[in-house]
Parts: sequence; structure tokens; C-alpha cells
Amino acid sequence: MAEKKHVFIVASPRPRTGKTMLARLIAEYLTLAGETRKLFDTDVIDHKLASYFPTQVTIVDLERVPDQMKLFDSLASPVPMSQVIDLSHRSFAKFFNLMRDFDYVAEAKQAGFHPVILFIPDTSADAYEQGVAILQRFRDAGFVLVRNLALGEPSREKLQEGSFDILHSRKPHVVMPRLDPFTLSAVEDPRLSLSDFMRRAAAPDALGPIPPVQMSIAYLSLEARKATLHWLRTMFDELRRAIRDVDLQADIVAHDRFGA
Amino acid sequence: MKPAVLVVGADKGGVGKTTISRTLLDYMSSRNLLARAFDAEYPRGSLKRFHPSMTEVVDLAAIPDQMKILDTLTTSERKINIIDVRAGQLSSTLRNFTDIGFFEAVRGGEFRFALFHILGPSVASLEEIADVLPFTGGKNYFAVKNFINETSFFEWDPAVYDSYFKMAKGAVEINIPKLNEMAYEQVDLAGVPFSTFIKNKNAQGHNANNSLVLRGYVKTWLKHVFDEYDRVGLIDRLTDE
Repeated sequence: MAEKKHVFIVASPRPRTGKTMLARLIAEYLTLAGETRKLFDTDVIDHKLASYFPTQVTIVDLERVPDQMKLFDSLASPVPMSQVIDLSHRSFAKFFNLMRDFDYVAEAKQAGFHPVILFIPDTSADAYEQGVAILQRFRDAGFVLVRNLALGEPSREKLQEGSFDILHSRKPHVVMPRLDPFTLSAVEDPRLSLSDFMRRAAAPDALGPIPPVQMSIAYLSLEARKATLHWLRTMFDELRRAIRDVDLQADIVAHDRFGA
Repeated sequence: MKPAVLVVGADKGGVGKTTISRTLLDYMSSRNLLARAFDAEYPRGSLKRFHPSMTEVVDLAAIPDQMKILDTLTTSERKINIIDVRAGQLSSTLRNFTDIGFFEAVRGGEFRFALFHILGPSVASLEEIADVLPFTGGKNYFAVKNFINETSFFEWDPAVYDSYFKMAKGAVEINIPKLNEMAYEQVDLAGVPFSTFIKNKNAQGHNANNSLVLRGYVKTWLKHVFDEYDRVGLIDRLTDE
């Protein structure tokens, strides 16, 4: 199961919900795990993921068939590797319609990939309803509810009802804790490599001096560095746990289907 | 089941007769009906390129070839016969079939017959309706509007179209939707039936390396085409006793 390749689809029907941050964290998580990966950004206007990994991200315009092929046909590449898709809210509906039309989940599984949808709602009922629609439409894909605490959470009463309840009572979740604005702006510096930051924190001298392009990190106060490190550790733990859980769910489903 | 003859034709070229014939062959096998096809693009045969095992190339003007089709209708185990008529030969073929007494046999209940008249976007297409109709008696006459390439818009005045269409009592309209041109080209290059392309196989039945995206487009499109054939009750019209 360690061999399993994932297609991480980071999606939200809303702008500014932390999609790019999460996509970036997954990319860095895979780097730390020693995995090579492919990165896609579907926002042709404001491709933020591409600003973090300018040489690694493929920007795709889902209105164009050749670009659709770049994205969806990458399953068939000779060297299979995990993929991270930062799905713009602008192409949210388009992407999932194509995914259904292409029978993508079945095709991906056949090619040895496990598609995982990481869905980030804001607090609105509409976002939760769209999440439920996606969940029900792609039952064979992994589904992770992402609770970005910076967006706030729906009230306790709301979480008991309808779409809120369906998504909330389903596991796994990924919880993104709030970051104070100062630390956030440090983390959002596109020159900062999060995996590099983690490696340096673990072994300060092993990697040599900080390269000039990453000097922003050196200007952080000790306090801010501690806060950043803590936040990143939490996030990577959340991701590790969520990935393990969706893999377990997929194995159970596969076992039920072929075992019993 | 009585033998059924489905003629696919137009007097104008380049309206997509062969494409429609290909969808019909896929449709019949998806409904578990044995079909054979005659490709009248003699001597080249573009339908045969896609469906070689069930297609024979014929010259509809030659009597031995007419015999090959019509004299074997009752003996062949393949009861659905699709004839892809060469451009410009629809009227003459129907006239020949009349002379042979084929339509008399159809009226006598010996065979089933349907005509897929593929209409192009020009007004000239409409005038063909008047030429072709008398042969069929209007029964199982399908006016097929082919949007597959959507290169030109249908330029008919709706009133004119209606006046032609009304002449054909019981005529049925079929719309073939657009297929993404890259997808169409890839299937063309692969030279296999649409259904084989969707299954990602090559002509020998081995795994192919077709784009998932393009297969997806073909699959969605073919489903819409099949839905059209279902909507007009094509199978019932060809097989009802």
C-alpha cells in the first residue's frame, strides 16, 4: 500500500478558502516523504500555486481540450507519480463535470491511482450542499472534509442538520488551525520552501547556510519560527493521518467487493 | 425476426453518412443485434476500414452486388443490414430497389425497411427530401441532421424546412450532436469502431493508448447518439412483428 499513488484534488466552490495553501502543503508533504509529484493549477488568471513552484506547476485551462488532456491523461504517464491539483473555484463545476464524463475515478483506480477529494467549504449552507453533491457523485473516490478554522465554523446547531451533518459526521477531516497574521505572511512568502524549513528545523547544521532566495526565513523571530514550525508539524500530521484513513477506507471497500 | 434493411444516404457528399453508419453498427451491437454492413463507396470503402469484419464493399449499380445483398436477406443470420450509400447515388439506388421489387416485398411484410436520410446544412439538402420520399412511402423515413462537425450552421429557413418536412408524413427527425474535433480525429486515426476506442482497444483487441479525455468525449457523445436512436424507437421500428 505504500506504493499507492494519489491524485489529490483540492477543491472549494468559494474563493479564498485556503486551497492553494493546502495544495502547497500536500506538495511539500510529498517532498518530505521522498515522493516525486506532479502539480497542477487550474486557475489561468491567478495561478497562485504556480508562484510557489514556478518550475514544477503545470497551469491548465480546463476550457481547452489539449489542457484537459494534460491534466487527466497524466495518469497514463510512463512513470506514475502522485498528483496535486489546485482546483480554482472558477473551474470547480467544469472540473467535476469532466471528471464524471470521463469516468475518471474508475480509470484512475485501474491505473493504480487513488483519487482523493479534499473539500474546503466556507460556513455557508450552499458550500456544504455542493460538498455533499460531490461526495455522492464520486463514491469511489476518497473524500476529506477540510475545516479551515481561519474561515470560522458553522454553529453547533447547524452542524447537526442536513448537508452540514452529512459532511461533518463523516471521517476523516483535516483541520487547518488558525495562524496569526504575522506568521501567516511569513508562511505565504513564495520564496519559502516549507519542506526545506522543516528539514532545517530537524537538523539545523546538516543543510548548510540558508540560500539567499530563502532569506525571509532568517528574518523571522525565534517566536515566529516556533509558531510556524508548530503549525506546519500539525498540518503535516493532519495530512498523514487523513491519507492513512482514506487509504484504509479504500482497502476496506476493495476487500468488501472482492473478499466477501 | 424479419430481415431489416437500413439505407443510410444522401445525394450530397460530405454530410457524414459513414460516421452515422458507424454509430448505427455500434448501436446494434450494444443492443445485441447481429448486423452486417454494405459499403457502397466502391472500390475504396471507408466504412470497411472501421468495421472490417462485418462490412462488405459493394457496387450498388452492379447486379451481382445487388444480389449479394438482397438475395441473402432471408438466409443471413445477421438480420440488420446497413447500407452506406455512396454520395449522389441515393435516388438511383432507391429507384433500382423499386425496379427489383424490393419495396413491394416491404409492403408485403417480407422485409423491414428504414431510410436514414442525412441532411447537410445547405438548402439543396431539403430538395432531396422531395426526390427521395416517393420511394419510401414516408414510412420509417428519418431525417438526420448531422451536427457532428458543426462547421457550418444549418441555413434553412424554418418555414421552408417545415414545408418539406410536412410532405413526409410520419417522418422522424434525428439530431446527431457535435463531437469534439480532436476526439473525432483520433478515432479516425485509430481506424476502429467508436465503441472500441472508448474501451481503449486497438483493432486487434489489444490495449491501446488512447487519451482518457478523448475517450471520455467519444463516450459521452455516443451515449447521446444512442439516446436519440432510443428516443425514436429505432429498434422497435426495425424488429416489430
